[in-house]
Formats: sequence, C-alpha cells, structure tokens
Amino acid sequence: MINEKELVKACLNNDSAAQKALYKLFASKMLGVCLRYTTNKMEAEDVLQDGFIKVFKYLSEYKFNGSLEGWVRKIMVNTALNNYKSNLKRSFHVDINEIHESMITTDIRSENLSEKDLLKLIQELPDGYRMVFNLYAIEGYSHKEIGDKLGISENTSKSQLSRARVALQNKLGEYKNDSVLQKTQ
Amino acid sequence: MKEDFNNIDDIFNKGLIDYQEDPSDDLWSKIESKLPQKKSVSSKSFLGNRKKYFFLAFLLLLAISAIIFFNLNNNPNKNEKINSIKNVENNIISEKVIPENEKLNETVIKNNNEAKIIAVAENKNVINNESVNKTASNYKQTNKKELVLEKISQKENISNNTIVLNTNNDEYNSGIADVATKSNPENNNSKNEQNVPEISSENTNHNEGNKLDMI
Repeated sequence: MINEKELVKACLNNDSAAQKALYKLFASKMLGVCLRYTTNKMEAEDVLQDGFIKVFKYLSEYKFNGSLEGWVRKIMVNTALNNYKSNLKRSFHVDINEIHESMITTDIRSENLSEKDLLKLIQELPDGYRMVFNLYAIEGYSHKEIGDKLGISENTSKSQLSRARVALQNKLGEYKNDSVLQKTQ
Repeated sequence: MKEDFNNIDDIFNKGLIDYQEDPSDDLWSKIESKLPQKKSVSSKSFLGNRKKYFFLAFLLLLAISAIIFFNLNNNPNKNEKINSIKNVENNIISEKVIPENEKLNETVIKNNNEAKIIAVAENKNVINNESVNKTASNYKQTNKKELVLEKISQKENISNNTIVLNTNNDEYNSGIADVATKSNPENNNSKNEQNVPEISSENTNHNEGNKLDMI
C-alpha cells in the first residue's frame, strides 16, 4: 500500500515518477466520475485531464484532512461542473420533449442493468438533470449545496432532480417492457 | 412514488459510485506536458544551467585576458627594473673591484715585475669578468673574491717577506690595496729580482686554487 503522505510530498517536489503514481492511483476511478458528468469518453477525458492538472497545481492545499481520494474526487466534480457551465454558455437548452424521444430510442436489452448501461442512461439525460442527479443521488450533496455550486436556487435543483428521476424511471420502464416482450417472445 | 425515486437513486448510486474505466494511454503524457510547475522548473533549470555555464566561461575568459594583459604590461617594466638593478649592482661591483685591481696593478708596476703583471692581470680579468656578469646575489661572492684577493696578496707578502720580516702588521691587515702597495715596494725595492719568478709562480698557483674554490 502506497503511503499517501510520502506520495503527496514527492509530488510537491515535482517528482515526475510520484506524479505519475498519483495519476495511476486515481485515474480510472476519476474517469468513472467524469463519465457521469459528461456525455462521452472524449469529453470525460478532457475533464479528467483538467482535473489532474488542478490536483497537481493545488496539491499543497491538501492538508490531509480526509482521504486524498475524496479531495481528488471533489476537484474532479468541480472541474466537471465548470465544464458544464462553460458548455451552457455556448449552447442553448434542449427541449424536454426531444429528450424524452431520445430516451425512448435508447437500446438497453439486458435485464440486469450493467454499470455501463446505467452510465449510458445518465449520459443521455439533459445536462442540467444529469448534474443535479449526480450531485444529489450519487455524490450526496444537499439541494442548497447543489444550488450554490451550479448557481441556481434550491427549488430549481429540486425540480431538476425530480425531472431527472422521471426521465430515468421512464427509461427503466422502457427497458422492463422491452425485457418482458423479449421473454414472452 | 417516493420509494420508486429512492429506488432509482439507489440503483444508480450503487451501480455508479465506484464505477471505473481506464483512460486512454496517452492521457498521462498530455497531463504531464501541461503541468506548469514541472515544465517551468525543467526549462528554467536547463536555461539556468546554460546561463551559469556562459557566465563561468565569460569569467574564465576575463581572468585569462586579465592575466595576459597584466603580464604584457608588467614584463617590460620588470625587465627594465631588473636591468637597472643589475646595472646599478654592476656599477657598484666594478667601482669597488676595479680600483682595487688598479691599485694592485700599480703595486705590480712599482715592483717592476713583468711576470707579476701578467699574473695579476689574469687575476683581474678573471675577477672582472666574473664580477660583472654576476647579479646582486653574486655580490656576496665578489666580496668573497675580495677576501680571496686579500689572501692572495697576503700570501704574496708572506712569500715576499720570507727573507725580509719588516712588514707592517697594521698595513697587512688594512686591506688588499694598502697592503700590496705598501709592502711590495719595500720588499721589492730592497730585495733581489730572483724572488720574482717564484712569487709569480706562487701567485698563479694560488689563483688556480682560488678559481677552483670559487667554482
């Protein structure tokens, strides 16, 4: 087991081997986080790259309060949210009906949803829903915290969450229907 | 409905909280190339080293040029100084030695001793040549030569005075010239010329011995 303190100290001394070791330690897990906040792997890797650059840049601010993984994860989430915000400025909101249609066309065949299938469902959510659902259901933030992070009100956060759940449930229903149909056939 | 929502939350939470996926192989190299600290440090250290080397090389060049410059400037002065010192020393030596030799010559002339003239002239030549060519460090040696000359003259006198024991002790001790001038006339004027060849032969022998000692 690698001593995190020594690893952090080595990274602070610009030890490239230590920096690579830190990257290897968290890269896969953090890519999993980034994938939930983005729509595809390429975008997720961009966020992961920016996130790790921030990790090494602000590593001196990590005071060993709590796990290093938790600290790195927070940076990744914040980077993903910044990425979302910058995308929001460049694009316009997608109509909810269009999303509903797009969700219907999603092809999920197996009964027990794999991690990849769940990820795919989340990635197909509208950006705003995806952010709130991730932050609330998976990361465990409160609506107030989510509101502060995204620059929205608590109520907006709540409504976004409920819409996200409906969307996901519909998708799961579609999946169940599809699976029942497959079984009866 | 709330239970369903909670159920949905749980499904996604459990399914995705520890979800992992390996990133592309080249992602680390991208991150590494964009690490500002490391890049700046490496480039700075490289540049810093180069600057240091250039600075050291410049200092070395300065030092070498300074050494050459000062050597070129100082050498003529030093040579001049050394030459002037040598000249002064030579003058001093020649002033001291030549009068003494001249006095010796005078004594020789007074003695009317042709063989002795030759012998002392040889002495003079040897002493002059050696004394003029030597530097300040050899000045002491010339003093020794003077002493040697003293001895020679003393021995001359002793040889001359083997028959006549009328030599003056004060004169004998007062120096080469005085001893030679004062003792020789008395001896030679009063003595036979038969002694002369003997003296001259003795002188030459002594001179040869002195030369060997000096060498």
